Amino acid sequence: MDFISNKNHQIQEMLESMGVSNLEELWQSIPKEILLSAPSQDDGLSECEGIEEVKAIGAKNTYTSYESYIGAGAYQHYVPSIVNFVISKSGFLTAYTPYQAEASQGLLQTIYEFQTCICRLTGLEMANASLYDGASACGEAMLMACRINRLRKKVLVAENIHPHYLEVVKQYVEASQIELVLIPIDEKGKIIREKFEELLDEDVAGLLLSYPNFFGAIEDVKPLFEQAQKKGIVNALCANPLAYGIYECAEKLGADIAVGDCQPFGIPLQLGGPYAGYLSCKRKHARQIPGRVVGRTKDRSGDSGFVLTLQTREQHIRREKATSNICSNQALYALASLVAMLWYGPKGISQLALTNFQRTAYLQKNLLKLSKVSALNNECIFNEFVVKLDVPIKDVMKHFRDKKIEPGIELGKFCPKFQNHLLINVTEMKGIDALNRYLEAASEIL
Amino acid sequence: MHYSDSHEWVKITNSTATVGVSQYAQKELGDIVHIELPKVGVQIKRGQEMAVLESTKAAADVYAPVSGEIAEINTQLQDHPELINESPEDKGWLIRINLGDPTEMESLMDETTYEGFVNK
Repeated sequence: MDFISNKNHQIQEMLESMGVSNLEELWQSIPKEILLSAPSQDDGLSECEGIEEVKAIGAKNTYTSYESYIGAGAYQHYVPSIVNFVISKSGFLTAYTPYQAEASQGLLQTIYEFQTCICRLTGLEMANASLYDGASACGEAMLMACRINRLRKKVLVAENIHPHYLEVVKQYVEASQIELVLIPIDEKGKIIREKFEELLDEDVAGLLLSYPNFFGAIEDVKPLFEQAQKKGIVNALCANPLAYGIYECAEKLGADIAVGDCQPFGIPLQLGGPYAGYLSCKRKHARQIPGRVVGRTKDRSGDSGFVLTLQTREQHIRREKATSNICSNQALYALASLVAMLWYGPKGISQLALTNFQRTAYLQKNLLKLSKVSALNNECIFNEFVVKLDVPIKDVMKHFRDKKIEPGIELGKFCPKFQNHLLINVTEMKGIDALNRYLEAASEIL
Repeated sequence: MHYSDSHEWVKITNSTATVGVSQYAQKELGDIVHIELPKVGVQIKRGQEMAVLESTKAAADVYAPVSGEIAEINTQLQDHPELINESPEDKGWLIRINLGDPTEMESLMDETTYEGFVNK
């Protein structure tokens, strides 16, 4: 947006019309100690000078010259060019959750199609217009479970969910006087089956599992969901949506609610956000779905059109009893994900997922050949995995960084129980040459 | 028939209370499109939210006018929510409660008092 500064004579004119003699008098009600002391008429830098200065600051960033294997919830995928082309159109770029919703048929259609894509991926019958991010989608899923099981007061969450997501879920449920119980994991990062079974009782409203889990492993969640379902517990699965390209969908696994972050589809890393969360569920839970939902209907002349539906549950009508008090969504980034999903298509998404898996498996397999590297477990993976190092991780990180490689994340920083472990992510962006550069650097120290 | 100030009605047969919403409440809500009822066997206290009626313009809570155990729910409503609009004080009944404390009936209004209450 352009900023047009005022000329002296214009300022004088405005002051006169207000009957104020100078700027200091205009600002007299503002306490002196919070008033900016810079000259009020500093014209600053010209556009050209400003750009030069910002560029010079930007040039101090070196991360772009590193090959990064950092994942842990935010993944470096290719963003097809069409994504930015479509979302830059002003009709989309400047839109917030539409107030006069039905006047914005184009925007409603994109949301409707986003919901459809999410349903196709998760296998569940309905989806909302998106949520802030994967973490808040998890929180909303647990509150939703508690609304479905109104008299129950506990939720079970796997300890191997993303630690940041867990923090957000805690905030959500604790504020609603719901107890969050962690399902403990073993030294391999896996859910301890016996402990899980002990925790299942008639007071548990919802269960949240991660797929893959924070350690990159695809656990066998189906039997866990089956057991929980027998106790009337609402099952929620937090998944990387791209993983559905090769692994079974949420519905087949026994989930009632599927949530996660859309970032892998068309959303760049952009320093951690904004991203978009998704939430889909079985139709029978339609009335407990949080946020906004777009539906397709017919107008009085029989033509197809889109409307905001189930609004009676939203906060402008239900107030404090609304299904969620976040009535906003992430329309722009949901659209980015939609465009990416449509660009790849169902077949393309499977191929993309497979490429992610193959490249990750290649790196994992070859890394494990090194003498000072061992596997955390032998679980199935998607595009992320953990290795245990027999060399101090600080030395390993330094060695890689000297070679302009970010080798992954020090797992111990997130999960103190797992010191000297490295969490490594590989996406379709890493070709065979890059992977071999990683392996070569690794072989020099491990 | 007795009424609460949140517009529920109660009718006692032996020790069972049949509960629904009043003609007045039905008119205020407009066309009912969905109804959420509690589960049979659940203990409920007077004043607790026991059901949700969703119309085309609002979703309203229905509060238990008396305490007790939910003995029966009107299963017909699931497929025919319009019964609430058509026959709120008969076919559109919501639940039956095994009355826990008959003295609670004393705090409810009779028909004439309720009529005065809604016409105030």
